[in-house]
Amino acid sequence: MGKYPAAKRIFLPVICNHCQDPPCRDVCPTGATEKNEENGIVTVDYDKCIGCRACVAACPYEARWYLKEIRPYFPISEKNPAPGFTPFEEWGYKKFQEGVVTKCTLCEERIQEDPPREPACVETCPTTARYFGDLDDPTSEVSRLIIQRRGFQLRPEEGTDPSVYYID
Amino acid sequence: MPGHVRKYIDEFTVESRTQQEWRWLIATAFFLGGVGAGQFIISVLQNFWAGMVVGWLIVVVGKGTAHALYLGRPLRAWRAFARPGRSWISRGMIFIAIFAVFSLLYMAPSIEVFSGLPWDAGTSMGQFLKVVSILSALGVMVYTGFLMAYCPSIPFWNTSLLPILFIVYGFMGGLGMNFITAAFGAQFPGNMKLLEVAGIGLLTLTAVILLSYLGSMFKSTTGSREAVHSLVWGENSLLFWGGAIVLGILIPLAVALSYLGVESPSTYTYLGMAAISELVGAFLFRYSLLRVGYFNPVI
Repeated sequence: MGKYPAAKRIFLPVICNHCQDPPCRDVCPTGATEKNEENGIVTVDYDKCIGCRACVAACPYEARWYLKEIRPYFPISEKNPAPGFTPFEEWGYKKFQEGVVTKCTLCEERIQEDPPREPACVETCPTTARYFGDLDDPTSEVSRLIIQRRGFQLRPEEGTDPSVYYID
Repeated sequence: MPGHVRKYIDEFTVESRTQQEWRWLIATAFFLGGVGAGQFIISVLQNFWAGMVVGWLIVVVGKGTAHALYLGRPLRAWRAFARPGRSWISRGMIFIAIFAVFSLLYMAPSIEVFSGLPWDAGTSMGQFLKVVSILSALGVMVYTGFLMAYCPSIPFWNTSLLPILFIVYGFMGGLGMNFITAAFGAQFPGNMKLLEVAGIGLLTLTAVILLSYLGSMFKSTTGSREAVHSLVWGENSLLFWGGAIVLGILIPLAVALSYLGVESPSTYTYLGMAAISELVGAFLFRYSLLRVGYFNPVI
């Protein structure tokens, strides 16, 4: 980023921004993409998705993928003529379907546990670079960090009002 | 947004990326929808029965097949009717369904087996079917333009000029398909000279709108500037200049002007060939439009 000799490398992980006004929901013809008004998470119902991929084109954050085929991670080679799915993959891929669009769910199933757990990316980040919380609560840690550390959204001019903020 | 981040954005040097999901099958579906609907409307207005049938087949069979081949889960396609309040795809599905049924009913009395049906073009029921068929065909023609124009992520598509361009291309393609249908021997009952003049007008209008579109987009955001650059000078310039401009506009325009008012047996053949050139160009225009669907960089 920047111009030589002042070029600089920055890291900017981009996930689904779980927008307040998500364009992916508006283009979805089947209602597969919906926004949970209670927790703000944008989800895809794989049983309703027809794989038209209009949402992939409509997302300004390029945060959606079309799952054409579910394949084992380890490729077929001479040493591994038929590796197949690992037990972990077999278990993990059960919830996915081929021919539909997928995206970050903000680990909704973890958030809904009792007691709730944080999304996996937040919990596993070794440098505590990610925070998760309630944006509607002005006293929450995330609301405080956004104010104190000049939080900003990606592409605010799109009018999508992302729920993901980046802090300085 | 902090000033130094803003500075990075202003100097962002990473290239914009294009959307990869909508490619030639979607271009085919959009193209067939526009051409078929355009041909149907022009044929109804000119009472050209063969044109109506071909237009209907292009939309229902051609466009339908292209969509079915593209969808990840085609057996669930019926679900696409579910959100007409929000989604242009849902609205488009409804337009296609209405068009398929009402235009078939309108054409049915002309088929010998169904000649006993109690309506034809002269009855009020026939007039009702005609109006609904034409309006739904217009919907089929234009909804893809609105669908693309709705995408805020891709600034080159995010313009109200796109639906207008799709309407003009739809009528132009429909006109071309009628020349081809006539070239294959179908008796054309309408005023051919009028269609030739309309074709010249539409080709000129297309060129003007296309230039305005590119001009306005070149002054817009990063993604749209990249798109214009790619079409005019970059990797898609052959598709654009060779396909959309030369094949799609210049050759048909030259032939139409040369044969304007010429009454000879070969006129239909030459107009048919010019129409094929125009249709290839119109398809390549839609395809190139999808290929230059550049996202704006996220920062």
